[in-house]
Amino acid sequence: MRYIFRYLMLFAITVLLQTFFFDRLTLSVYFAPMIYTAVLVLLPVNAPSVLNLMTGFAAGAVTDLLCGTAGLHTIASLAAGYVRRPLLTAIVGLDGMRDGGFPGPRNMGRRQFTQYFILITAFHALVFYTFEAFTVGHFLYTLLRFVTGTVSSLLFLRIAAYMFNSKAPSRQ
Amino acid sequence: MYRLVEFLRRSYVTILFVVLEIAAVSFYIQSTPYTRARMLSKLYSVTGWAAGARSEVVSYFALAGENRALNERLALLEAEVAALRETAPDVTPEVAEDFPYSFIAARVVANTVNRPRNFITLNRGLRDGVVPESAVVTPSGAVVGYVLECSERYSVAMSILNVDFRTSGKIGESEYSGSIEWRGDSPYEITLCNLSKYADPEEGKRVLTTGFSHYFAPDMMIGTVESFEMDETQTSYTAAVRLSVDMSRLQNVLIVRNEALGEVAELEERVRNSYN
Repeated sequence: MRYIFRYLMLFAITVLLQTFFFDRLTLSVYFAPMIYTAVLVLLPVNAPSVLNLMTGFAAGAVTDLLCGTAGLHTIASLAAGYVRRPLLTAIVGLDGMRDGGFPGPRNMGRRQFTQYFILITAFHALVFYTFEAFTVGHFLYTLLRFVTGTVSSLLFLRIAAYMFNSKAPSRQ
Repeated sequence: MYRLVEFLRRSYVTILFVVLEIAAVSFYIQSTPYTRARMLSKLYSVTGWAAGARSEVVSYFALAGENRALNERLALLEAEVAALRETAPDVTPEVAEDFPYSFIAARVVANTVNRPRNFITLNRGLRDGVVPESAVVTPSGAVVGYVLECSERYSVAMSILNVDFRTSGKIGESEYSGSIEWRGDSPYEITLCNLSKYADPEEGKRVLTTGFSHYFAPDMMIGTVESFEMDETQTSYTAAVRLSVDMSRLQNVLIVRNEALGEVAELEERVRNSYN
């Protein structure tokens, strides 16, 4: 039960940070961290598919509602929620899925956690920037935004993961 | 039934994902004019390609008839040119440099005649030089419609058989003009209304364009008067006009681009703004 409260706090904080801080940062169009996916990325490893999907949907929909982006975040986070379980299964294997626990270097191993972290963030960014551009023209520009968006999101998501995992045990 | 339940139980997550994703994408596409326009453009490309493929097959079997019609048209044009050369031997193509119209041959890949709003899809688009508001006519010069939207390789034209179609027409060489519209009933007839009571229409007389609309050059064929009657106020005629082209058998057309259209529109806008 206490983990539900922890996840709700993570959800609220990351969505509010995204809406009222990161979305209003005007440093550069290439610096656009998307931190609201933290609650999806840090769900337990063996979370059911439907929980992944609905968490992705909720995070995206609430962000869209607050940022006024009309479904763009929902499209990306829903897709990330759908691929999360197959991605984790491919990285940690069925045994790792059975063991469960919170995603982190201690639980999954540094290499596997890094792989998972980068892949799911990159996938989310790929879907987001593809739909945002909505054209194959200016491909290089979209690619550059995808790369820089992924890197900037990884930076802040890693901080969020560190803070979340520092208090949580490696196993549920 | 058991298998269906089993299938649903195993794949409900995927089904749920597909449903939610489609809803989110639809909402996003409808959210801005840019995404709506991009989606429409893509749809035109896809449906144009599919209709184009079908039309390739259909038109192959119509080649013999098309060749015959083209040869007849060629003979007619040669005779006209020969007659013109006799009457004006000094006229050369260089003298007609200011001619503002350019012609693009196109094939009809999709066409409807049985709806209130009918459209024609053509296999020429932006990369062929087609622009919106270009006139669409048959090779013999009869009015068919005008281009509304273009993608890279296709364009969609409003058919003359569309209740929103408007242009102006006149009887033969007279100066009196009226409004051409289609009332949605017969695909072989349109209506020329608000024609002055001094116009003196007669059955069988040709109805031509006036040139007042930006789309069509003057004296382009629309059809022939089939019947006419005075309206209730006794101030103007309403004439039923039989179209000179069978819209249900449209295969090949010419897209007529008016190079001066932009200049005319800009000039009219300037005058309107200065007097508002």
